[in-house]
Amino acid sequence: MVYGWAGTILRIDLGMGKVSKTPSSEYTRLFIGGRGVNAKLMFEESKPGVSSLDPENPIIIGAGTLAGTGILCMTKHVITTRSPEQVPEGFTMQCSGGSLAAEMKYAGYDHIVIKGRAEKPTYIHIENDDIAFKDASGLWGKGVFDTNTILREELADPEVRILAIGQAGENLVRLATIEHEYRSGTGLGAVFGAKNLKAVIIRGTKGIKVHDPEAVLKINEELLETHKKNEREVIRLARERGEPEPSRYDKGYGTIGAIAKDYYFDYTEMGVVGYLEGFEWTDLDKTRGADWLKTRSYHDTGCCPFACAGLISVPGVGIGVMRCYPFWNLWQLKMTDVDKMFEATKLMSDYGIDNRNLCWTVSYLMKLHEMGLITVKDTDGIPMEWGSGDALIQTIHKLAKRKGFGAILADGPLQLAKKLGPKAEALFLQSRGQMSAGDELRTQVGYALAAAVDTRRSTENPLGGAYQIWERYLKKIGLEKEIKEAYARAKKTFGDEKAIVPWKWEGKPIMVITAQYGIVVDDTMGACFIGLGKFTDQRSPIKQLGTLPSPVGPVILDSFNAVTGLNVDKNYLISAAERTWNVEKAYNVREGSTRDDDTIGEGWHKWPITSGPHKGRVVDKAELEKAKSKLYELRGWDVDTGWPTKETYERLGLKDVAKNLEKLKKIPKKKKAS
Amino acid sequence: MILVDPDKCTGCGTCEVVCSLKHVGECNPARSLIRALRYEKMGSYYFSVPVVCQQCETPLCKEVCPINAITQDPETGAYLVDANTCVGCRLCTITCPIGAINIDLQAKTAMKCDLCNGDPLCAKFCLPKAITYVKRDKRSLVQMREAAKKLSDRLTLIASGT
Repeated sequence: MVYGWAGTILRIDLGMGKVSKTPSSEYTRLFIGGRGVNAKLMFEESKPGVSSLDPENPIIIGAGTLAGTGILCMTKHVITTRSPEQVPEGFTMQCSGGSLAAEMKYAGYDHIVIKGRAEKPTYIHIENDDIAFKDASGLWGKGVFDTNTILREELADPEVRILAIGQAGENLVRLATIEHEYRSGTGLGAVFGAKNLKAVIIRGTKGIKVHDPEAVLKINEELLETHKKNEREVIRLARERGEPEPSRYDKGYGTIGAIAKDYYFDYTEMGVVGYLEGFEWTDLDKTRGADWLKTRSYHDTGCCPFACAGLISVPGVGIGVMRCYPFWNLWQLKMTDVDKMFEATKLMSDYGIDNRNLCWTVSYLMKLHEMGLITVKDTDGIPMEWGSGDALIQTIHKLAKRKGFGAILADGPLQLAKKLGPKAEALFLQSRGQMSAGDELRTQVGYALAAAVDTRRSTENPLGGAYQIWERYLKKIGLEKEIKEAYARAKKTFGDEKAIVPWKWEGKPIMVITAQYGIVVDDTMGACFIGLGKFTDQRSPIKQLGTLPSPVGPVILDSFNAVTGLNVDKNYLISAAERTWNVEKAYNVREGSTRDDDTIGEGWHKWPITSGPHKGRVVDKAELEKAKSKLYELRGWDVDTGWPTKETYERLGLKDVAKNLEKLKKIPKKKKAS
Repeated sequence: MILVDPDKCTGCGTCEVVCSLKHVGECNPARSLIRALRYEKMGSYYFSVPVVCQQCETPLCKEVCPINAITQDPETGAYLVDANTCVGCRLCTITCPIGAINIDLQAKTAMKCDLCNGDPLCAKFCLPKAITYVKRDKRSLVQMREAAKKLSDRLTLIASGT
């Protein structure tokens, strides 16, 4: 009896119109599921050098192992493929919430591997054991919203779960996304487009067995209890400080409220304004998420009760979902018109465009415009003025339809930067063709290190709140005693109290490794760290500051054992995460990646912060290189090449991977003991 | 009995999974006795509406059953289907005004909400309180209070001038 897993990997060849099924148990012992099994499948199913838009590039959809088991916040699916967004291309994956992961498992599949190219526009309809290839010619050219509506009507089933691309993906825009219930991630849409694949539709009615239903319900009960306790604490604190009664956003509901000004600027000092200028901006208050939501919030929806995909209603624009990024995007574009950003977001969800990378690019164009390096002629008459929502919206239309300068941008922001001349190109901040995830790296060197060595070159919030102390803020709210305690813990754990100072390099390599394994464990289980964080004691990271938290977050190990009945310890999950990370790395190594590719954009080293308490800070390049070496050593990787060694692969049970790479001469040479 | 307020439902589906886990021993919304049905608008957003037996004052499912397979639990007031008697004729599913009783294709009998012996899991695990459990005689008061709260909130909003 298999508990927790659906049991099957489904392989679909679009070109041949064939499907095959194999047991997922061949992979789950070592890689568990979600991001883990996806990574191994990606390594095996892809041939070296096959480009992202080649029909043979596999795209793999994986369900989190705990998804669909009823435990709150276990809602994520992972899509893994070769990135059309990176230059040169490399491994990428996105992890998004919604109800797709659960539905996949109810249909009987843990992972779905799609290869080949359909002759004409097609969508795949999966209903339990039945897999049908259907004509999508009528849908081609339609946006994501229309596609969803038409498909639900055509299939006469409002409950189908849909992954779809909009016009951007069809037009092979490198920044295009695959959309599912108003959630997306990095640019993968062009991979669907190149396969002539408009949508994947899943419906399942089979159900998943869990080993210990009583224990599963008990875990849920405890999560709710902890949450209620946390909420009471927030209310108590507010009363004690004489603050107004906390709104539901202050209590942490919805990500939009939570990432409003307080958190990113006052608390963590990690926001970015304009094109990397710093974070003193007088208009900041106008973008405060919680204020805007008071009049614009319409209905709460989401994949867990925290409803981070809350519905917004804006007069003249309509109803839709505001994702969390747009608030960073407002700052990047120095925009104060939140309504306008909502309009842009809705448009990007419909076309299927990666708002994070696009807004960075528009911010870059605005900077060039300000410096006089480009004129309206370069942007088809659109004035790239700071704060202009219309500039963003017009760029979106041009990009999705490959019109005018949008046609160049569609081949990647780097292509556009090159076209604009050497002076403009020198100002383009990128690593592997991607801009950073939106976090300020110059105040957070741990984030800089994490971004440099990430297997997909971009990740948000790689350290979380548990590792970095923001003294200025903590002092402001009177936590002097807690600050002292945190430093004492840091001294004990890392041998140096500077380890928890965000802009000091001490202790960062081990923190980054631990945090990255934590992210992989979450992505493998399908756990949403934002949602779970609110149900557990993680809401008070101050108590954890200075320690090295386990990569296996609270609840996950208990849930895994209750669901699967395997009774493993946390080291089992951490090993699987390490294995996953090494296979993802092995893919990049096979495709030519070396130590020199583990970088962040040059600008982070060269351009100091221009204002605010951190004026003058840059990321020291020599220090970054030192930290990289240390991190490679700790992982068991060769310091010169940045490649995992044969011993490391073998220690992790990855002999097959080592053998494969050995043939390609991608295993570091053994060094003589010195 | 179980009260439903679609305004508060986030569509997370936890109610469906815990219900099926308890009643059929697996996580499977398709076999859950409560369903959070999706209504999608123009592809850009959706609402979910939880649908569950309201334990009618005149239970049509019971009235129409030709073999008296549906009886009332004197403790909770829930109408229960006797799986040993039910033949799956579907008359109850045709008659139910809100579609809250259905044939379970694996058990091959009608299945409906049994109020979990007075501690319904769907209500217990609904954080936004879209699903709540109230004693039968308190029902109207709870609903009145909810409606009055909405009115009072609106009045406060008007008074504050926003």
